[in-house]
Amino acid sequence: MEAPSDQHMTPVPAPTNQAAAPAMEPKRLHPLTMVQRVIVSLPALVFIMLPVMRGGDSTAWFNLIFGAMYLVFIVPWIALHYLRFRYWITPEELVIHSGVLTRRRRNIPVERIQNIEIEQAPLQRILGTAKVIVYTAGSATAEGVLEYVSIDEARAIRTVVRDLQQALQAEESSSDDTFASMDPAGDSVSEDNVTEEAASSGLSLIELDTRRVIMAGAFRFSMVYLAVIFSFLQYIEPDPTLLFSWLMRGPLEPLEARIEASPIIAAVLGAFGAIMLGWLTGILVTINRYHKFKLELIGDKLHRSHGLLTLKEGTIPLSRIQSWILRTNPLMEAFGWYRLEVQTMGINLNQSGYQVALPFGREEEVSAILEAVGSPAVPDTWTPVSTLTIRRFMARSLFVLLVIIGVIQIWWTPIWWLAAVVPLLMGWALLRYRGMRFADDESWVAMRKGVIRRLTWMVPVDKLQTAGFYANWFQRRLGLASIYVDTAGASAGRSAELPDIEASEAASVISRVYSRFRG
Amino acid sequence: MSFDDLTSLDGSIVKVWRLKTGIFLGILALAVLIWDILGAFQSDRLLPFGAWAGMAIVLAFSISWWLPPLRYRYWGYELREEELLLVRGIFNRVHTIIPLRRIQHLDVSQDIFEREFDVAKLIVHTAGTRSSDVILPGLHQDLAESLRDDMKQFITDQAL
Repeated sequence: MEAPSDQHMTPVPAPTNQAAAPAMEPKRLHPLTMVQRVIVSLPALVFIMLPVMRGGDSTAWFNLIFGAMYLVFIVPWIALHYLRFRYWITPEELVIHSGVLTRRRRNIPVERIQNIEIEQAPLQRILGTAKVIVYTAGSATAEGVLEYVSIDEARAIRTVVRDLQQALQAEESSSDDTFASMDPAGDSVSEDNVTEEAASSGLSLIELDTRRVIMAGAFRFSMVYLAVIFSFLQYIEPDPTLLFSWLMRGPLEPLEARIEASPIIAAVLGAFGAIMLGWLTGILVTINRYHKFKLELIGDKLHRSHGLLTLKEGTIPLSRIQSWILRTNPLMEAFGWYRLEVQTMGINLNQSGYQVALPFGREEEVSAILEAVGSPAVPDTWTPVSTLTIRRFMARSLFVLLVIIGVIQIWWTPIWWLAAVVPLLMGWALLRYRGMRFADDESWVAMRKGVIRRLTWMVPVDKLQTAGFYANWFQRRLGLASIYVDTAGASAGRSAELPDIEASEAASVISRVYSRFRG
Repeated sequence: MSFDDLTSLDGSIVKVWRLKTGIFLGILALAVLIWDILGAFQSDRLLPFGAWAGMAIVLAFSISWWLPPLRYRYWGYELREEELLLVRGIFNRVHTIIPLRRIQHLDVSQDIFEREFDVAKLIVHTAGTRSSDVILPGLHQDLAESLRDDMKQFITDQAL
């Protein structure tokens, strides 16, 4: 019988003659993986056994058998999976062999690895293990997951991969570049100036204290609690008749009486309660995610770690950053708070990603980070767009309004009172105009827009993919044009684009930016 | 960066576009005609038989006759030293600069109509998201290939 792949052979050990590049022997996952998997699968078992535990159900024996089958199959499966799983790192690739029935051999070339994320949920922190997630692209799906290895092993894997990548880069920079291997994201970044010392010791860019994280949460409103309540209700499936009889016995009677006495106050209080709950949840969610947020510059990579219950560590290679996005909203901006995101691009051109570089910070802090990594500064002198944009916005929205009023008038009833929204539209148009602006410098171009969601793009000119300007018939009549600077990895509707600039100015901005790109 | 004095497309593309829009709108007009015939004997007709179908056919014919020359008139391209410039659009006029060193790969393609008139389109792929595939239609087959070779040459020279 012909074996299509040599899965039944013992795994090939890594070549050991490479002195410069440390390689690993084939390894198993941490033995405690099995314990963790069993623990993680327990809720499902409890769910299956729920009728048995409640007792008195005539079909409970069925669930009992189900539970027994679960133990007979799942536990050995977990053990087999553990025994089958092997991973190792050769100087060229990360190899993962896995699978019980379907065996999978996955080889991930080291040079393609973008980001190695280390994640520790509470259980893993108790057991001293971690999940290692290997990304080959800016974001999207993980290519390889090792769950779980010991935390030291996780860090070792990251170091080994980083060293191997640096060795590869040093090798590559001495050999010729070809068309196929040209970096699509930017001009091939010279990374050989990264010295060993710089790579090993990081430069701390920012750390957020608990007070700041709580503040960040206070500006965030989360409805996640609703989902939790609903899934909890679904999980325990309360018996409606039991609930009804419990209510009839009158534990909530005083409350009921009060609601009946003053329904308006009850409604206001209810809404207030819901908002407070959302506000509190927002704070808790933010604390859980960004507790001890720390951003460091290690070599040519941004290193980020954060989390309260689940610890996360990840890296963003600077060369993969396509543009910097400053995000805020009217409330946050009134208090001078911003959030800094980076738009990254992976090996796969279709994949885009946004990662948070600073969840909540002052403008000076953002500027300091940008300066430390040698990226565009937040501009302080902006050029506004043409005031004619207010007129265009009003014309557009009045047209839509008239159509709505007309249609409803014909088919149903006159609703001329809807015209009362016109002043609101005018206010919105004014705010919209005031938010729209652009700026450019020798090395970057920045655009800003938005009323509620205020976004500022800062695009380094050397990350430009294509650029241009366009004008529809209405814009041409008013002598206006929209400009755009396209970068890799932007998602649709979230790229640097700004409408209604005076046509001659639009053309000159674009040709200025392009001639800087050309250098 | 001046977008003046751009090169026009090959004149045959007007015929290709006329043919394509004609076929597309012709099918729509045919649907209207069938609908008209099916309702020919209904008593509560708004318009006499053939009025809708006639309008649809006249409209289809005039659009496919007048629109392609207009499209042609506003199309322009120019391959400069380090970039490809494009201008296009009747209603929404778009000016695009594609730096040659941003090109990922290039395709020259022809459909059956284009093959009949010896024109081809050049498809330029970049890593951008807004306009990752830029299509330059209506080039003579030989011109499309020589443009592609020139750009390829630039990329290869640049990489060395």
